[in-house]
Amino acid sequence: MRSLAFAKRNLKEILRDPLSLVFCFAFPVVLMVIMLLIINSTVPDISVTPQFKIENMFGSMCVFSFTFLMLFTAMLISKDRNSSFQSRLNVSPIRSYEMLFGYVLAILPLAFVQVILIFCTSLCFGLTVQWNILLAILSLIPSMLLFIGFGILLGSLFNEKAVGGMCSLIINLAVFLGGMFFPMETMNNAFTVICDILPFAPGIRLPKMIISNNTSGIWLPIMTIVLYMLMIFSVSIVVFQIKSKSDKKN
Amino acid sequence: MKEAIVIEEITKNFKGLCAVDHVSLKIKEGEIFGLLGINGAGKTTLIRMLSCLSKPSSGDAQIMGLSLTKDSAKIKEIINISPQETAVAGNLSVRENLEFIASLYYKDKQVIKGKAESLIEKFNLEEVAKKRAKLLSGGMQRRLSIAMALVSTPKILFLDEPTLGLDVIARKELWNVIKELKKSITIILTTHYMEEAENLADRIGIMVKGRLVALGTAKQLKKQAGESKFEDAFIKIAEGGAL
Repeated sequence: MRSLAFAKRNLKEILRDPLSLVFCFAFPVVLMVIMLLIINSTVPDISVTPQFKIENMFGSMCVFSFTFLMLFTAMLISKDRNSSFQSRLNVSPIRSYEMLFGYVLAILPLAFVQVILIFCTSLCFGLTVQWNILLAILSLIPSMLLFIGFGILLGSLFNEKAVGGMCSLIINLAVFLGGMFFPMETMNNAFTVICDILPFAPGIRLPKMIISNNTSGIWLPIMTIVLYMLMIFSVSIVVFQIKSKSDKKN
Repeated sequence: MKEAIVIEEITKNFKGLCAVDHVSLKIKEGEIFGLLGINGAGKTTLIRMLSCLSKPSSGDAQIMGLSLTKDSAKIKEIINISPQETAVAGNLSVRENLEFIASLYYKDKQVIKGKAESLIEKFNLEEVAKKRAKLLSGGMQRRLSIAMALVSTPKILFLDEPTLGLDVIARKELWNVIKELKKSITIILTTHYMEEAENLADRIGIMVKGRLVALGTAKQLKKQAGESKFEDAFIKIAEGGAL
């Protein structure tokens, strides 16, 4: 009950901030539209740039938009932690796990709204509606939780000034090591191995494989992204709890 | 009159620095107790410990008979705080802020709405009830902040520099609000404004370098320092001249 009340407050804080609306919802869609318009008008053969095929871009842009949720989760937590409002919450009966749950409950629906917006944009650019789209959307859930976990972790560790920079680092890593905007196949082996070890490329590859019905070896990216999600989320919970306790000691 | 707070030799150390040094003090039920001191004297640290926001390094306090070190969960049910900076959720309206805090204490929706409505009325916030908190004037934000602290109907209220940065009129209005509260709640307030302490507090404690160096009514402290103005008495005591 207290988690729900806190989630409601967090959701209002985010949705009533014009900057979060622009970056969470408008920016990924506008970027996607611009990129597709440029590619469609300049590249005659899309097979040269497979990463910009709409069935591939759907997953990439969803994961890209989740990175902004990470940023706003981290900023909200960091801002709360360093404000007097946190003192008010700490005096109240709400427990740190209820607060944590309240953050996740507020952010998760926003991730689904992002997916729906990108799905609608993808439909406009020729994505064929098939039953496996639903599976592709479900396959994005570990990535959603991974980036929310990153947001909780960074928001718990860093202050308001530093948290933006740290999130930018993760956003850039996700873009460059996730193969969002370049074909991974053209890169050398060492680079692709690094990309496969990290969670970004498997998270992006998963919906691509499902949409293109190329599901052989799908368990590897599933295992990788789920393991990372569990690991980052567990660490973020522990760090959030430790920081809540240490804030009280001071 | 019963004692609301009994502080016993409470101490707080921060990495070699003693912020609060063996403070002992008794505060009666229904009293407004003013805590004065220059910056870094330990007022906020003491308030943070008494409101369960920070753990004492040693010593203890009884809050309405409950031990600060053993019963902090129960203490949280009977105290509340209006922190130094205005502690409101900026993007929530006045009513939403009150309802949100109420929902942390109560489950029944009717009770939650009723609490918010009664506080809006009590603090004359009707006209701004739908306005977002960050758009309110400083005085209104402080008023809301205190109203939020009263949602849980606390027996003890900690006000940490409640009128800091407010203009004269807003400050006077808030004084009236605090005086109204005196009838039903024990209030511990820290302030840098001498006239505020003199006007509002039944008794005043002066802290210097973490220690409670003087205690009494404004009149008694003036007499102790041999000064006719309370501000002069405070300066003399804070600088060690009256000890």
